[in-house]
Amino acid sequence: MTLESRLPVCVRSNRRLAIAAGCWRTTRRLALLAGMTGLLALLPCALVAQSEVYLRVETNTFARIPVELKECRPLQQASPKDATRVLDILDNDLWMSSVIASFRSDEAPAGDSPWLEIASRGPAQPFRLEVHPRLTQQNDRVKLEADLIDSHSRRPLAQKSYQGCRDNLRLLVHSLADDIVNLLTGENGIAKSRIAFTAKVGESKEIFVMDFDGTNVRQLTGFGTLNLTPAWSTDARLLALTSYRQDNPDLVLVDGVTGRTVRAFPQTGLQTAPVWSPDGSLIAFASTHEGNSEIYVMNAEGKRLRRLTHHPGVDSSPTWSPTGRELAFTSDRLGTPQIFIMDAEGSNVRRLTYVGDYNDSPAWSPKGDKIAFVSRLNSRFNIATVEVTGENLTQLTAEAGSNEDPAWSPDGYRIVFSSTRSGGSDIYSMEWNGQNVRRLTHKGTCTSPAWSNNSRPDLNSACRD
Amino acid sequence: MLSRLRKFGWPPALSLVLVLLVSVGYLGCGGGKQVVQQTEAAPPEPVREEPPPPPPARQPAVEREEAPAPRPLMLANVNFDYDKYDLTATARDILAGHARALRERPELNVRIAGHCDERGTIEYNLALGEKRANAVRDYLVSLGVERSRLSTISYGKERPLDARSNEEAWARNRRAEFVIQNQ
Repeated sequence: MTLESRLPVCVRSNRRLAIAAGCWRTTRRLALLAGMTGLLALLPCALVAQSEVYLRVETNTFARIPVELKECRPLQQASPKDATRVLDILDNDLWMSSVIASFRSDEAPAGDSPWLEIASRGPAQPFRLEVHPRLTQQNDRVKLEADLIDSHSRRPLAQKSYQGCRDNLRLLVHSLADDIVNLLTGENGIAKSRIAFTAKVGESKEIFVMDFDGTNVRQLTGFGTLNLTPAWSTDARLLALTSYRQDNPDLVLVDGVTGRTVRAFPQTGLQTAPVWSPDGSLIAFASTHEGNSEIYVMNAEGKRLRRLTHHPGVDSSPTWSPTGRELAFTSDRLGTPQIFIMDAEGSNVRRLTYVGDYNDSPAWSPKGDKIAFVSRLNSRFNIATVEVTGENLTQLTAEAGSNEDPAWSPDGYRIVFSSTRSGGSDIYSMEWNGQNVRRLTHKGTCTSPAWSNNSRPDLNSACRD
Repeated sequence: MLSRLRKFGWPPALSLVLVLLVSVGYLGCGGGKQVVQQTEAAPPEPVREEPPPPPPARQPAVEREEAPAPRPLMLANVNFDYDKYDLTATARDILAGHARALRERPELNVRIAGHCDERGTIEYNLALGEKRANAVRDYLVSLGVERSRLSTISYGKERPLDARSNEEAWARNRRAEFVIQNQ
């Protein structure tokens, strides 16, 4: 097929492709779930596929497992307010997991509840998970317990219990949410993950860290200079970034909790876009220290530097495949910036994107099948995904400001990005198909979000006693 | 020596005085040499301890007293077309003037900072800003400015002159700036 005949097809069929791809993924996931738990009845995804209309809600709800949140009982010194908070946080966590449709049994049935929508269309679901939470408090310490019950068989599937300081209540709930996701899907949840980003502080740009849902925003660095393109280490402890603190754009490693500089790699030229290999042993980045912008890898000590690209064009923005065997990167070697893939040794370079004259900032999905990137079409910058085969180009954002810096959640279901849709630049996250968009920051100067793997927070760290 | 002086008719006392004077003179000379040696040997110690402060402190002061201070050199920005790092005809004219000024002031070192407008990704604009700074540096070198006097840095789209989002602001922000590092 020639290039000319291929392009219009891809562009025209963006939206249909999005639905078809979503359906395929849904089927795969549900099949996995059914096989694993033996509890799920599958709804035919043909219902969606036959539709020519872009269906915002359906795309999500058919993939989601219904979870009913029973009222949270406050015991001993626990306040009803905290008990309500537990449900609020849990509800949001589960919804953000992208695989669960949570709803409250104490709420009046709402017409727009996706679960009710499913129920009204098809036969009654034979399975849903009931969560019966209890919150106990003694002085500063709280205990969160939950019975997880199969509503159909009334069989208890699990009992969970978490203890910590009251100030860490949010983390306790995140732990419960992740365990529910794990129980129902076998996958790790994302409720204990964090997002780093940059925001302006006076004339400088510093690194900030927040929880995955936009809460607990904290300034991490105070270098008083430009600090750009942060990337989490695989164990979510360190951040690699480009810092001008020595008056040159150099790579530094900072502690993800204290913000202290762990290591610096001073070098001539421009060092940007560091990214950790999935096994945590290597950092890939772009550097001009030999003159032209090329992709390099080194270990976290700055040793064993290896050059991967050898081309007079600009090679930048590397991203690892989840196996670590390949890297995608941006290169303007053929005239305009496009996404390429190469083997981890730098060999076997092949072009991935063809539509548009500006494709940059590739981010390889942790699930391995897709690469998200920034694409300029009609003078606008939007987030798109393409499968690693080059097929199924899907535009995820449209008519909403400039959208840049895509990064995947560790479970591969969500994409965090920066957008100027509300005026200033802020951080948003959305599902892999562009749905369920959440605004996470409100500073107006936020860019370069990076999503960590799940950290293991110390639930007792905030105890005063 | 005394008997010889006596031969020439000098009184013994006077001869003795003369001999003493010569001896003292000789000793004095020897002592003088020692002092000179000491003054030659002694300075390195304090100089080694504090060499940087005296010369910079004294030299500008002397220059200010003896010669009029040169006018601080200001080099105007050069601008670029969208998504381009090659030099426009206007930019070349401006840079020709910059090169002349820099050849006249060989003591000055310059840092060239490449900047971009807000469109495009952070990484792409960092690379583009560096290409702009390099293009300016290479052109100045081709016009006879020593390469060792020119350094470059890219700020990408991070330091706009004009924060607005329109063509006018973008045109101003696509630029190379010149920072004289030692005046």
